[in-house]
Amino acid sequence: MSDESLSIRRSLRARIAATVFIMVLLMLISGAFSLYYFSQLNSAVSKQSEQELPALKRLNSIQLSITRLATLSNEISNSNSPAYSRILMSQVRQQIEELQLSLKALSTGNEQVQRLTEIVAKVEPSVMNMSRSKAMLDQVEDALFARTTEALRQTIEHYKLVEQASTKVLLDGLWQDLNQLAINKHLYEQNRTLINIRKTLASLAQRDELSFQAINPLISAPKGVFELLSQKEVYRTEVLGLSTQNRILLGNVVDFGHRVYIETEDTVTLQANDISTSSERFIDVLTVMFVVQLLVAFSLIIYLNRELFRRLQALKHLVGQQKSITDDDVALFDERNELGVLVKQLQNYVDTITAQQRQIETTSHQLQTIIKHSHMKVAVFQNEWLLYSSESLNQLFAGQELSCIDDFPEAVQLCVRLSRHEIQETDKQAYFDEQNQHWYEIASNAVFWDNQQADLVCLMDVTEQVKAEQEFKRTLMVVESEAKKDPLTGLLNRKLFDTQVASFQSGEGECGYAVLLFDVDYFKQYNDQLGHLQGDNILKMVASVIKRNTPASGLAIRYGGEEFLVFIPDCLERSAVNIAQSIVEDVYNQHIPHPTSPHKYLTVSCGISVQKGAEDPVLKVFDQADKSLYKAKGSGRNCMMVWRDLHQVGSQKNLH
Amino acid sequence: MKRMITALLAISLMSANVEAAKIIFTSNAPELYPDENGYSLAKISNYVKRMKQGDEPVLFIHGGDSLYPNPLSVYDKGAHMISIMNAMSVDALGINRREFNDGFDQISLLSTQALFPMVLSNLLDRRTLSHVEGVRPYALLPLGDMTIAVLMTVSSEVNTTFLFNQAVVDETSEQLLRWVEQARQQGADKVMLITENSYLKSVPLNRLGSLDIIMVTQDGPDKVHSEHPLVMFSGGIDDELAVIDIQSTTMTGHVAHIANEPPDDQLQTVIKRYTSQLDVVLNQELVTLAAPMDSHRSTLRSEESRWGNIVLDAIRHYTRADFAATVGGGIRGYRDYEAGYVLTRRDVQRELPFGGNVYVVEVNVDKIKQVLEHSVSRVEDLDGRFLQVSGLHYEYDGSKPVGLRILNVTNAQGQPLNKGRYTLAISDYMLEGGDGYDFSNVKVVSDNLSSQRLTWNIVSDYLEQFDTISPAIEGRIINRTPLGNTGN
Repeated sequence: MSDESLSIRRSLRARIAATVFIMVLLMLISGAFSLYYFSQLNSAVSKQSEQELPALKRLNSIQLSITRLATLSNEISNSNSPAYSRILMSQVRQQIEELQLSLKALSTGNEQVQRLTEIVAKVEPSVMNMSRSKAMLDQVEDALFARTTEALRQTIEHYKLVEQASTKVLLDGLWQDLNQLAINKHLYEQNRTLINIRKTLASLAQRDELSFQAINPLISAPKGVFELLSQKEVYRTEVLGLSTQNRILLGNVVDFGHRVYIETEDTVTLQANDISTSSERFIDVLTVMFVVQLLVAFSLIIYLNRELFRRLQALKHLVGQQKSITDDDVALFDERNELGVLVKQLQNYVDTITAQQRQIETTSHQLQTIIKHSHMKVAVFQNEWLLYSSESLNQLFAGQELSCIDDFPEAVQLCVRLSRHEIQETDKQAYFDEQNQHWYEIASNAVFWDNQQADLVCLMDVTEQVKAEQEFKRTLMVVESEAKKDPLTGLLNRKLFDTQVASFQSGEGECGYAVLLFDVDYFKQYNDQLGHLQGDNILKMVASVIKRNTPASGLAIRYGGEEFLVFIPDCLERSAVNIAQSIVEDVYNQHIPHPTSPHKYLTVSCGISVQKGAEDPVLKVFDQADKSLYKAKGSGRNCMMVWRDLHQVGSQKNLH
Repeated sequence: MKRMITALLAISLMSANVEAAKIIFTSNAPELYPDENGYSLAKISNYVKRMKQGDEPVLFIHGGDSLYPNPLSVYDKGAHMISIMNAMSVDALGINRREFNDGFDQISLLSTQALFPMVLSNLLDRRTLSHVEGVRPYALLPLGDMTIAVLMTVSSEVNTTFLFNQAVVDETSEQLLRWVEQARQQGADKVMLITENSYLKSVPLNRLGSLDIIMVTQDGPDKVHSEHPLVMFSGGIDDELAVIDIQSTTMTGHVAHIANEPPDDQLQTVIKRYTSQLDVVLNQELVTLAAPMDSHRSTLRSEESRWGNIVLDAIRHYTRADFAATVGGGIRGYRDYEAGYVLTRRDVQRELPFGGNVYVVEVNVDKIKQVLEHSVSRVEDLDGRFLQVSGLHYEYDGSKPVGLRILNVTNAQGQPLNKGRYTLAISDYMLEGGDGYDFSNVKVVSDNLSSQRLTWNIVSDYLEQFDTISPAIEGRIINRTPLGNTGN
């Protein structure tokens, strides 16, 4: 049992199957792995394209909105027209609305986005406040411009009115300062101008009450230049403060947006990297699998080469070249696998074969010796060349140079060739020695001669056999003809008619056959008067007449005691009548005396019938001839009658 | 001219009545929000108002360095601070270095909004070779019956820190003294120079003997340096103000504390105009500190800082660069944080008030060493160029000659740098050449979009992802300077 389990583990079939199984398994695993990976890749990519990328797109638009918002806010703080500010404000609202919508669409629990939304919510009131302060500022500036202009106008008017030079100087200074106030944008300079104006006004109050009363309210009273200037500064600071805050808020909005954008971008990049890394890993794994498969395949090839192909080569060598398999040869093979077992078996076979070969060698050697010492006419050929020829063969072909097969008679050559091609000899080849009038039969066989493949040709003298055979044949023919002949007359007997003629079928000839039926007239009386011996003589004479007159193609038959039949194939009625007439006349002309015959001499009567229809059987024609014979008998005998269908008109011919 | 004469006339008329006067001075006060140490713009304002409402005439002179760094300035380029100064009734503003954070033109623009003159005496716009538009070389201010001339000088370092060689800075005393003479001719009784320490290195005090008062702006404790001439150091986010008492014959200085002063409601209203709606942004809580940390100036500018580590880690995390390095001068919280403190966006903005962006550049090891050498080239002065780092460890010896101070540079794992190229995240300030850094020949590899974000937002985002964070010293920067040889 343990041997068997060992052999299963050692079995080439099992090992090859296992290797192929491993390769297929690896292929399946790598295939499944690829499938899994591609589905992962697919889902990752679709996630990116369906979620992250639209988010990025939305973030982009958010960034754009924020930028627009920042621009709008700036424009508001710099706007000179309240109407324009209001237009800008409505755009700000619209922009914020859009932004909040975008953020809402984006907000998926992202803390940054929530904070962003929170800050954006602060932006609108802040921009609104700024716009309001800005409107107030514009209003104050307008009023300030109007007041200053009015003050300037009053100053010029009073300058014209007053006559005192010092007052004129004061008014001139005031006019200059007021102008300076309108032109100078530097607050510090403005302030210094204001101090001057205050001083001038104080001096004016003392010098010229009238002009002071006219100008001072425009400058110092509520809603005067001073108050408007300080109001302007308040609103300006307010606008400035709000503008700064808006910038900060928007800056933060930009930054948060930026951050969310970068984070999303990072996520996308990370995912892309993930995909890239995992695909690299995938490629690595696939490569490893590929290498493993390659290694497995390679080691399978090496294994097969070592265990199978090389062994098979060795086995081929063993089988093809070597005549024996030694134990060393067997040691080359692993006895525990199929090949080893096969070689072991082969060794047994080869051993057996070798033993048998040796036996054959011995036997052929013995045969050689026997042949050499016998008187057989034997020749041994290797290929075309004569190896050996026995002494008696040499005597047969004495005087001829025998070295190759072509020097031998054709029959010998043919026989060798046929036997070489292992053609079943149908006819044994024979050779006739004309000189000595001897027949030889030739036989050829493949033999080992001096351990070589050779053809052994053997000539056997069969002269006696041939002669015996010929004699036998001759005897046989005699016997055969005896059986068909009537012993008394030497004509063919009725048996032949029954066996051969009765079944005759007319051949291709134009005419049918003719049946001529003869009967010796008054034979019984002749026999009774002159004795049976004389009767036999009479029959012999009639038979010889009939035989003499029967053409070669016809058959003369003794049908019964004194009845004769002539059968002529392919015969015209006229010829048949002629033949019949010759015979009837010939018999009469023998002039053999018949004591009781009215014709004095021995006569015969004849009935003739010739086949009319091609299908008419012999027996029918015979019957017609018989009936015609009966008529001839009735018509006086020594005549013949021919069958004429139903009306037996016949040509009765009485010869005498 | 006529106005001027009238003004002078008025002053001379009143002069008999005045016996004493006061000048209040401060600088380096960009912070909008009050500090635990007593600093508060509203308290300063209240103090100034109280003084001005007294019998003595009072001038409130501001030494500048206050429009920046300040988170709001990142958005409005200092406009809010001008408004605040208006409301604080500042009488003159010395245009100092940081005022130029957004260049000349922004100062010109702001000058129109100021209710006070802006002064800068020794700097010309290279484009026009004249004084910055809207800024005068000196201002004559009435103080009771006196006229005070105010001048301002900055050191040429402004060219490396903010103006990047757009300015022509006169670091001699000649022109200054000419201005002083001119001011005196125009009636100035006392001449006051506002300047900074580094200017005094080029123009020593003994050359400025013709001046009456020299106010040195600085970020630190206020003090009287000398009486004749009166030299005072003043400035910083603290509760100190420099006060000069002018008697008919004498002039003395002292430091006033405003911690206990009630805040000025009016100023608070003004500040609120700028901040009322920002709480939604600034009060966002980011992270709880698991350990204490500080952002002291001296730490940030000479050694590894716990807070600096966090900031730089955030920058490196954001940029994904191999290393990150930014100047310690960019971090300006100057305060202590206890364990358990919850950092808000407001804190982060206060710590990184310049805003600023981050760029990633490609550098080789030589460049890294060069940058680090520059970092410690003025460590003894606690110069702002000192680098806080992430991903990088370095050791320095401040006693060695400049350029040979870096002893060892490794990566965070302690391995030497042997790769050909590294990515280094730096601030826009450094990239543009601020603090004398030279990145003109390096390749910027970061994209525009990511470089648009402000540093405080980058750091806030970084902090936000943690519940708690543990500030720690990791041995990134090791000072190997022998003891007793640490400069000043």
